Amino acid sequence: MKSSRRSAHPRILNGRHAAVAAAAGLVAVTALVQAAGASPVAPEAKRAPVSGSVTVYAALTAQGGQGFTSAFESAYPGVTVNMVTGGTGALATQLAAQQQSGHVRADVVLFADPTDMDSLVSEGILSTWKPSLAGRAIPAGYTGKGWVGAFTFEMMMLEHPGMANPPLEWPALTSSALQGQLAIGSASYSGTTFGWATELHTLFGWKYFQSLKAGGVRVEQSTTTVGTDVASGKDLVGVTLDSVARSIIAQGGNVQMVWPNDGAVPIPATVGITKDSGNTAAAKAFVTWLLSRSGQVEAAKLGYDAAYFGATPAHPMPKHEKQLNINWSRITADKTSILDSFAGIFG
Amino acid sequence: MAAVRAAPAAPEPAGQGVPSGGAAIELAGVSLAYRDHTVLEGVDLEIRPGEIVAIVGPSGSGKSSLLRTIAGFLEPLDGVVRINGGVVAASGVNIPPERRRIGFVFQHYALWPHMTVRENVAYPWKTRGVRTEERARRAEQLLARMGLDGFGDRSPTTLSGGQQQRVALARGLAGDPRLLLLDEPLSSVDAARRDELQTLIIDAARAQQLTTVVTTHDQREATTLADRVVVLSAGRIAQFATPVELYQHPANAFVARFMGALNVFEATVVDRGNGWLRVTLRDGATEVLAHAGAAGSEAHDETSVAGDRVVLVARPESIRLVAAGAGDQDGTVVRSALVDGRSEVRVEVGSALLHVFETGLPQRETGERAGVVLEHCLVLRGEGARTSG
Amino acid sequence: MSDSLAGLSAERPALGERQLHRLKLGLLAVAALILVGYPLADLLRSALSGPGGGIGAWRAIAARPVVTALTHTVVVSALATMLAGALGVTMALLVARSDLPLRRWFGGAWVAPLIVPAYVTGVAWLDAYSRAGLSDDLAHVAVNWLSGPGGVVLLLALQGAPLIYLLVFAALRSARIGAFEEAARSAGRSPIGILLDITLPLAKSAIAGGMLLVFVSSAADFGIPAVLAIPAGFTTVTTVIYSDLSFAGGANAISSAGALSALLGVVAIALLIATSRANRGRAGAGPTSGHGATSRPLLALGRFRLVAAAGCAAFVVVTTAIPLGALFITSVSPGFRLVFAPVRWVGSSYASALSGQNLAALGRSALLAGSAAVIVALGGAFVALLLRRESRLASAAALLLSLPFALPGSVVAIAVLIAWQRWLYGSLLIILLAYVARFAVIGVRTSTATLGALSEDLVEAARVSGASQWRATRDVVMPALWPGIVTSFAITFLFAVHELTMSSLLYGPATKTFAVAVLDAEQAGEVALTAALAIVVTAITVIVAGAALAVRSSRRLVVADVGIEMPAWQP
Repeated sequence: MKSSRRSAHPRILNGRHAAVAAAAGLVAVTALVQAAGASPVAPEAKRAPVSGSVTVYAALTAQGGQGFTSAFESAYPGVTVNMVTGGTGALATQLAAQQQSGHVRADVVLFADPTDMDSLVSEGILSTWKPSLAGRAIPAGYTGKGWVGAFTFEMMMLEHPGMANPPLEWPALTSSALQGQLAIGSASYSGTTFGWATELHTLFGWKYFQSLKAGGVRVEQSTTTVGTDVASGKDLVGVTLDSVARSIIAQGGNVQMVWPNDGAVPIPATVGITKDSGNTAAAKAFVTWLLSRSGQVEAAKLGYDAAYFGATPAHPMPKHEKQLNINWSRITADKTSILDSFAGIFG
Repeated sequence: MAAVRAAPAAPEPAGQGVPSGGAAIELAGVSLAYRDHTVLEGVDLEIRPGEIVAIVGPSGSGKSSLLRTIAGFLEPLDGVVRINGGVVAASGVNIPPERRRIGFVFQHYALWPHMTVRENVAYPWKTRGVRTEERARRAEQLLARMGLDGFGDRSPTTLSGGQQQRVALARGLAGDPRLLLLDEPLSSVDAARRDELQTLIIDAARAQQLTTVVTTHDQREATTLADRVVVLSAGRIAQFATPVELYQHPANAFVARFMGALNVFEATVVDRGNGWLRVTLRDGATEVLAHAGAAGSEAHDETSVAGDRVVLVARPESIRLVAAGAGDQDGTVVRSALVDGRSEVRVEVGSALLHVFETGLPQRETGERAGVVLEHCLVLRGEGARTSG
Repeated sequence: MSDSLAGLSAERPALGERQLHRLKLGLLAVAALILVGYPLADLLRSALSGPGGGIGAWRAIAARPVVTALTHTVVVSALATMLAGALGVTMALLVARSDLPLRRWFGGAWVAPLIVPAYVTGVAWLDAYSRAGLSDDLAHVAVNWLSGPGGVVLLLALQGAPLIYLLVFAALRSARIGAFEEAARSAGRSPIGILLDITLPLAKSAIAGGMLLVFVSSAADFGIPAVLAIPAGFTTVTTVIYSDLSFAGGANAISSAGALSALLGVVAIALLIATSRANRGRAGAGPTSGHGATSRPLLALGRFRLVAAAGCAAFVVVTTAIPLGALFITSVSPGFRLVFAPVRWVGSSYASALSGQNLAALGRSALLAGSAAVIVALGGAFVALLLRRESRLASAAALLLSLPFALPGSVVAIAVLIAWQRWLYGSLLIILLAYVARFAVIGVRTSTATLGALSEDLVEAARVSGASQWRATRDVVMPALWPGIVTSFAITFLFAVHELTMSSLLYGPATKTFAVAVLDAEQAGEVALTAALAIVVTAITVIVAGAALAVRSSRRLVVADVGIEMPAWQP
């Protein structure tokens, strides 16, 4: 299949478009929000009088979670953030189990998998509230029923510097030179790996992964572990997130970010609030803050690819870097079979 | 209906429990069963105040059970148990051990390992409310009597078997008991120490005129310690008499054998005369002539007739060995040895192997023929038991 | 003075007392059923007929990935058992029958690693011998197959060998076997011949029993496969249960995990019944022989003594010292590579390990382990006292309670989850229930053994000295129980504080235990933090074990008198 040339990643905000969009957006959002019964919140939130504690389930690293926690808590001194980080799959399972036992403990959900968010809404775990994103261009596919994309994870390659023939494209990972020297994450634990696996399966079929398996690929749980494997020298190449890569480089790891020539795989980090949240005000404040300028700047500081306000992290994706386009709406139906096939190959 | 009185809290001085007359311990028609198995049957026993009584019998005869019934650990099925005239066990009544004011010494000492020696001994006073310093003082006194000065602070587990049993004896005497019961107290003490302990037991009992009952499987021990001995067989009393009586007039063959008689033979009377008896031993072949005790003495047998089954007991020291052919029967010397300072000879007469004691050094040769004269024999009837004398 | 009627009371317990006893027995039965019976029964029910259970669940079990995992588990456990058997028997022969220098020390050194939790061993070996580990950095030697079935077999074998060693060593010490060997020796048989003809056949039941035990515990192990097998995509039943429940199962997660757990449980019980049948035929080890260093050893190593000693020392170093050393170095190395110069070591991972979420997890583990230990120790004593004269009830209770201990931890956790998740999901209480259910048998067995060894004489002596039944119990029986209570407290605390299998299945975001923190850090790729957490949990275990041993040996009460069962740590 041909990869799409259309970039899913907006970088330019046209001023006039912005003004019109802002007006329309305000009206639309106000109407939507009134219908949902909540009070409208302007994008650039003033320090609203929220307090108490808010529980966030986030598919981030511990450091990433800690970074957002500190930044939000200094913006909202009355609120304590209870940040729970982990893989998307792990957190989603916990939410489902909590739902079964009748008491969902999360207030805010930040996953790396839009399909999970859709299921959470249909299962009644996520509320349909969305923050107002008036006055800005929302990338295609970055908004759904009850959730919004906050930033982007890019699945790319992390490599040991000084390799004789460094792989520069996805098919190159099956090369025999990388026998036993490659690490990837687990699709059932890591939402971003799931997205990457889905896209590559669409492109190259399952035999791609079968040859990876035959080549002795190491399947870690999280993409962070993949990054550490490369940094410590355990593996030469790893498929991981740009945010993980940046974090390792910031800590002095001897690694090299390689953006695949045939396109990085972008996965939106999707955020929403739960229906039964015990502190809706604080939950909304968190989400709104995350999507505000200060939140986005913080995200970029932490190494994430912010979606709005042009905030860019260190070592940003090159301007002309190709991006593959995932058709998320089609994936929801196939999700179980994709996961089963992945598990069938890799165990 | 008698008034119910609370048990006295203050300790009674020793000896006050001894009644002026009557038995200290009385069992009447006591029987005991354990899981369909009869342990004691129809036991009638009266023990006098201040007396030391030993209960002997083979294992399984019920001696421990008898003692423990007196102590209150076992409840009789039938019969009445009285201590100092007061009923402690009867149908519908069973006074628990802690109220019977008895001292008990166990075979395996039963000293509490988490308490010191002094605390062990002082415990019977502790349960009766005596203050710490007072009971420590009394415990020390008892320990001193047992020759265990300075052992008060030690742990019982660091003591030897003999020392532990002395502590147990001290504990048994503590609390001013009315009776002292000892269950095979010397079995777990090595032979060298037994004498010491025997003396201690007797001294302690005599000093306080304390009624004492001891069980043992060793008849020598029983005859050393006791004023009177109960011989138990399969849950029944075979004989209750002084050691001399048991020796001279055992009630039946069992008692005779158990009290250490050698040369006990079951036989059938062939002929009888004045002071002598001719019998055939059970094998049917060997015939033996025995001289019973002199006429008028209790061992003299006047009533058996030919064909009667009797038990013949020949004392080793009353068998004379003479020249071959010069005795009532001839036998062959099988072995001759010096044992404990006297000459012990085994002589075979027909199918019977006789033990003979001779004075002086052993002079017999193995294989030598000798004449055998059986003097002062006891003739017992079957297994009939005599009542206590 | 007549005391015939003084203070009359019947010896037979009053009607009220008997009723009270029955009431206590009833309460005990109810508690046992709630704690153990209900969850296990519910597991079975859910597997057979629950939502997503029944035919659906069994079909799921028959699916390829699950069959693969089952096959993996059986094969790996079998291989590990055989290797452990060979190692354990060799160790036992070396210590009990040869003239190996310092053999007592070796015996202790071979058993000591039992104190390190399995997952810590896994992490330590990876830090030591895998690529980019200690041996790779220092000597360019890396054991690539460590992450995968080979590593799992090796580490399970190393974990099982000390168990077999202990059992076989005890059997070899019996005078019975020694006497037969002496007879064969005087008949002129060669040492190897004696070994093959006499020693090993006579020790056969100890060896077989030990190997069955190792097989079951290898199949039930989760920590080692979690660390070594998951990254290689090598599944075992325990990792499938874990991943099913943690992130892969979806809506039917619990019921499919339940079906798998039920299957594993049934297999485990069958094996354990086989084990107990094998043990029943075994005559007691009998008195230990007095043969010490004085008698000529059966296996005289002669010239090879020093070589053998060096070999054993090397074995200890390679399997214990180096991995722990690598673990330590990993924990203090900054950045992503190992740093060997002490001046450059940093304590930042320890700072992380003992702060924030991790410190909270540590506090939780201490609280859970402490509570479970108190309940088990005191409850066990209470149960033992209650069932003192009811021998049939006592054996039934012991059997029921030993089920959650013998079954794999995954099975118990899933059973507890299925039974209680509606009310207690994600709470500390559900983890506590699982701990108590699993370790209850420790308290009951220890106190029952203590009471069994307590001669009734001691109680009677108190009674005849004037103490009522109750007072005699208080003054004589309870002091005897205390060492056993302390021991069961210590053992339960140890097991609970580094317990991973059940905790990883029952924890919620607010109830992460310390062992789960280690696993999480490992899965999140935080290598130095994982090592630091692992060292902290091992240090806690060692300290508690050491304290318990010190307290025991300093007590005035001689342990032998009260007959406590405690696994021998030294030959």
